[in-house]
Amino acid sequence: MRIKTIFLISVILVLGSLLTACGNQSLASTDWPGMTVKDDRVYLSAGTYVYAINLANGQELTLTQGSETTPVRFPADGRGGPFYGDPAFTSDGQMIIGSANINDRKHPLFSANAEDFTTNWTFEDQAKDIWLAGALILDDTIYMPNSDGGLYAFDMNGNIKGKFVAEHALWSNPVTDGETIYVASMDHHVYAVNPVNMNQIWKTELDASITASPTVVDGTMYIATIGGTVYALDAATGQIIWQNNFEGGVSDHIVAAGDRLYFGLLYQDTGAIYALNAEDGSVVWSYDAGGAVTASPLVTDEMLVFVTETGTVRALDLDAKPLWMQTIDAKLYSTPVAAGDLILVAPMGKQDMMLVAYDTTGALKWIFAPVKK
Amino acid sequence: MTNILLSIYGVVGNFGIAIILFTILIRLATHPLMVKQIKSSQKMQELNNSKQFKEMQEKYKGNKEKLSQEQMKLYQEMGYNPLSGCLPTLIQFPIIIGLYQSITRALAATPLSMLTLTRTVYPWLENIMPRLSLSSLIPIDNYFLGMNLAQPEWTTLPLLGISIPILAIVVALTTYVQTKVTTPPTGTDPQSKQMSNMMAIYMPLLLGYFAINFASGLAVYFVVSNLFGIAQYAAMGKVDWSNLFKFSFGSGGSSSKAVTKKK
Repeated sequence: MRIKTIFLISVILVLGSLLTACGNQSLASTDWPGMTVKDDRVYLSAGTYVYAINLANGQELTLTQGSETTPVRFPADGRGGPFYGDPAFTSDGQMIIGSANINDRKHPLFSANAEDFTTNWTFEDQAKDIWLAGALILDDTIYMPNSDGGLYAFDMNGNIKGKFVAEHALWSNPVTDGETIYVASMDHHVYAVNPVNMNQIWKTELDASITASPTVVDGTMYIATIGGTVYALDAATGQIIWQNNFEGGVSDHIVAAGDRLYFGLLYQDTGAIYALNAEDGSVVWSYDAGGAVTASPLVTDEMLVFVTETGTVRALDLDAKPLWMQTIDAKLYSTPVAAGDLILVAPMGKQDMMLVAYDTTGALKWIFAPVKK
Repeated sequence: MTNILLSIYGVVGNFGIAIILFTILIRLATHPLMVKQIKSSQKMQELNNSKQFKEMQEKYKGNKEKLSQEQMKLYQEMGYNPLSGCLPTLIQFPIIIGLYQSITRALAATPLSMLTLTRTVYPWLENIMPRLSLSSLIPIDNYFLGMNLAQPEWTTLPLLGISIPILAIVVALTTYVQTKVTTPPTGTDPQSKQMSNMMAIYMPLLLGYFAINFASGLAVYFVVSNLFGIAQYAAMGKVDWSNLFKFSFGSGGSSSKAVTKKK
């Protein structure tokens, strides 16, 4: 009988440990890291914190008080995260970031001073779900999408000005052409919303859920779904101009450059990068990525840089000719970001390598690892 | 497991009902193991109440180590394996872990879990029923009875304005009831009584803790599993409602008395 008792207690403890492990948060990011470049810094939302990193040397910003030097992170007490969305910045120096902590019933959205990360205001207890995307700042209003389907509009003090509600979660950053806000939803629809009264202008149903932001250029919206279909829509009416389906899914936004569109395609085991003709959606070229591509490529005047889930960072010229390649021992899910002459890549789940900077030739410039507090 | 859960969801169109049906399916699939556990418990009970066992307890009451050795010897002679009753319980745990992962995977609350989900759904399911295609299944409607199944459940009480985890309380209560009414009488064996008491206290607390801290879809599983488990025992005439409010603290009736006498 004693054996049975010990056995049962052991099983309960093992079960407890296994389930508890599923919910634990670690310092390293457990999902897509977010990145925003502002002035001479890059702000990285990864795991429990938002980090401010000096672009010149990859060092974390620190604060010296007396003889003690401490890293400046948000939030200072490490409570409130994890954070996955891109930090957004207002013209009056606020950083806006929402919590993706499923267990925090308050679902807080934070405004912090971009210089010292002190909290300005917190919006909480009203959103019903987590914040996975970044904010859009238009004039004096902050537009923030939530997984409860709400696109919340705030003034600069965190007071609610209005709200648009989609049928399901909003996972991607809203975009604007200066007059209208466009936001895509997991409910298969893309919406055009009036930024003043938050009323719907139009909505168009697509073939599958959308985790990618729309891209609006010269009155045309380009958007892709996890069903693998790329669409061009009239941004004024929502009418579909053309569509092209690809085997696999697209989880990030379409990059429009010149007369071409570029995007990454997610396959089961491998992925690809495509260049389309923006006029009619026909394929200009495709490139076998050798690993699933969840992120949009970074496109500059001379090159295209993409990352794969298998840890490859590859640069092509704009006609798909390989230029250089680097590998990182980590999964790469976030879009590479350009910062001057640097190309920034954020590996997932690597505490000793949260951000990697290359120059445009692929040479490693620095690696960011958080300073231990 | 995730594909079975999603297939049920694809048919019924409600994730809460899909979890309920999935739970019943699992309980039915593990029914033969439960029957085995009941038989094992009965055999244990018969052994514990046997004259031979009681004589042994009396004989070695001052020597626990020897008593354990003799008990094991008796079990072997009678062809009873004390661990055989634990096997069905053991099987439940990987199912709970698998179900937790299936629920969180299916609800796909974050981009990474969505990526995992897109790779989990069998593409051929679409050929069986178009509603089982990835595009049709996603997004999962994660609301059931006003709860977001992807998050822990807390209900704000009207007027009072305070939030309480109602579902977690229901989980703890149903676990307690199931543990009490389906546990066979432990006879005079103090260790059996101690273990039963321990299970009746710790299991509701443990599962209640899980329900507070994890996706409420898991709590729905616990509640349905408990209620269906009681129904299964009731159908076999093995429910002992009289045991529901019997409380025995300490190390068990007979041994407590023994300690009192010594004092």
